[in-house]
Amino acid sequence: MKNLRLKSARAALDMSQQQLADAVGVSRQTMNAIEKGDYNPTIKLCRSICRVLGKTLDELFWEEEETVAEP
Amino acid sequence: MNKEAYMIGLWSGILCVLIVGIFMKQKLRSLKEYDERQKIVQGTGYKLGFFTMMFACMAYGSATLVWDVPVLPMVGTIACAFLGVGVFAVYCIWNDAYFGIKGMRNKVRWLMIAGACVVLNIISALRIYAEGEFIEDGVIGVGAMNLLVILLFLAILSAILVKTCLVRQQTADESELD
Repeated sequence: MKNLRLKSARAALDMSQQQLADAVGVSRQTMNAIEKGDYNPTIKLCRSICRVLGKTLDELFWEEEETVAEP
Repeated sequence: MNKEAYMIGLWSGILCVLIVGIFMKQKLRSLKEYDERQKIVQGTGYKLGFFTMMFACMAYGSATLVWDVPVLPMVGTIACAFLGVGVFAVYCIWNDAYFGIKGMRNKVRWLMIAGACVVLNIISALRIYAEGEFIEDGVIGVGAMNLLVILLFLAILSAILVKTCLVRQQTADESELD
């Protein structure tokens, strides 16, 4: 599943994928894979990304729970 | 061809590379860092390369048992190892895990070294072929090693070229969508 919140947070700071990747110490392709949902980063990398973007883990990486209609 | 001299030269070269590699280990490490995703991809690549080499060795061994394969055992074994190396390299290139975090800088340096390696091996292979040392006593001899190196590097260079073109096309398509 695509991580649109990450992409939005990055765009809000006017950062390219390469700039964010350099800031957290990964390759641009890895950052692209995280945004496209093709790779699940470790908690260490998640924290680094949150630190750079000024967001919390919940805001960027927590999956939203699906609402279930009550009978 | 003087096989003893060839072996001494080959193993001297391998030893030199190992010694230089040990002394330059620290510098090489800083230039070739891999991130967590790339390390995972490389792990899968190593597995694929290993099993490819194992299967190739078994196939070569079986073939020599059944037929009269006109290839020197050393050349056959090295060919199997190179096949495994090639599979590893192509898999990593395809999944952006070959050149490390500092991708572009490493790629340029690698292409220069690979290009020089191919050219030197082509010169050597042409010399061996001209002197008729490629086939000795009806068997493909150690003279084929240069050809194996050329084929390996050409396969890797082709993978890099295809991947680069594909990435450019994808980037162009994404730019159009934006």
